[in-house]
Amino acid sequence: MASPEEEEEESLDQLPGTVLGTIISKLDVASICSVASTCKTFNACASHILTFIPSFHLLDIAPSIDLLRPLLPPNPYLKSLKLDCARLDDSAINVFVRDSLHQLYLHNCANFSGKLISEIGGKCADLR
Amino acid sequence: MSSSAENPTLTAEITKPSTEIATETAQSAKKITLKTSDDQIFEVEESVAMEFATVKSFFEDAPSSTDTVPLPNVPAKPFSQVIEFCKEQIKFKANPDETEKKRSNSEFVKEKTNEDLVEMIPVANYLEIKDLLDVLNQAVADRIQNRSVEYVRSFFGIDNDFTSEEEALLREEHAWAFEDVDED
Repeated sequence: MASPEEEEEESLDQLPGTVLGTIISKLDVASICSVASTCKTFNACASHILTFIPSFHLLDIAPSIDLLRPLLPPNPYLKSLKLDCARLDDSAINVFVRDSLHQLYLHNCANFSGKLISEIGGKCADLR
Repeated sequence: MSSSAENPTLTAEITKPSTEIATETAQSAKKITLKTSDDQIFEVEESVAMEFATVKSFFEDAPSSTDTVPLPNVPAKPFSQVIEFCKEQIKFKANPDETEKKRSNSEFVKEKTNEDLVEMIPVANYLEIKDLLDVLNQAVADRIQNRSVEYVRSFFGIDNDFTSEEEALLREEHAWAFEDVDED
């Protein structure tokens, strides 16, 4: 881990890698994706952040499963998830359902079966 | 002649003891001399300098040192703004008032340019001033939230190191994120 961080510091002259991570983790999901397109350092940092942010709230758009998959990498710290599910169906469950979740808001989930909803309950034991 | 010259001083001491004490404290407040990377000398009150964890540990290792402390990673311009912040902060140590502290912190960042903020971050990081770093990180996040890729690049002075193919692919992948960003 040490060497990529050193490279980050060099390429940005002065902004320390850990500080950059802290700043990006304060942004919303859309802004994280936006800064990921600025340069390779920010891109790597943004990808890394998506593996430990505690909340993922995306309600401005209804993502497709292909759009959602790279945004939700394995993340054992993910506690709160808010999604617009208008373009998702039962197959999405493997992408967004995590046993670490404490809070789950699913909007427009008409495409989900009742079976799926009960499966979510079974997989997320800590859900409040 | 000499006695008459001394007398007024004595009288002043007796009649205005509070002023004398205040002057004495100001005079005896220990100053720490710090040298920035661009060879500027700063004389900072000890209480302010102790806000810099890096400087504090320097004096913990060498308590009697009267040497000038070199700050090889710290240029003068952001450093003077960092001192300004720390002077405000120590007022709240003696007299804690969270509401007033927040107001003072937001006032501090409000009048700073984007460049000021970006230049102060490595200084706050190097000197390990946690409160300032928190304030700066949040301020920068607030300023780049919902802004265009070009805006963020110029904010940090980033060189785009993607090939045009790579950038086109990323823009396509994240196209949704660029809708409705604030105007630059």
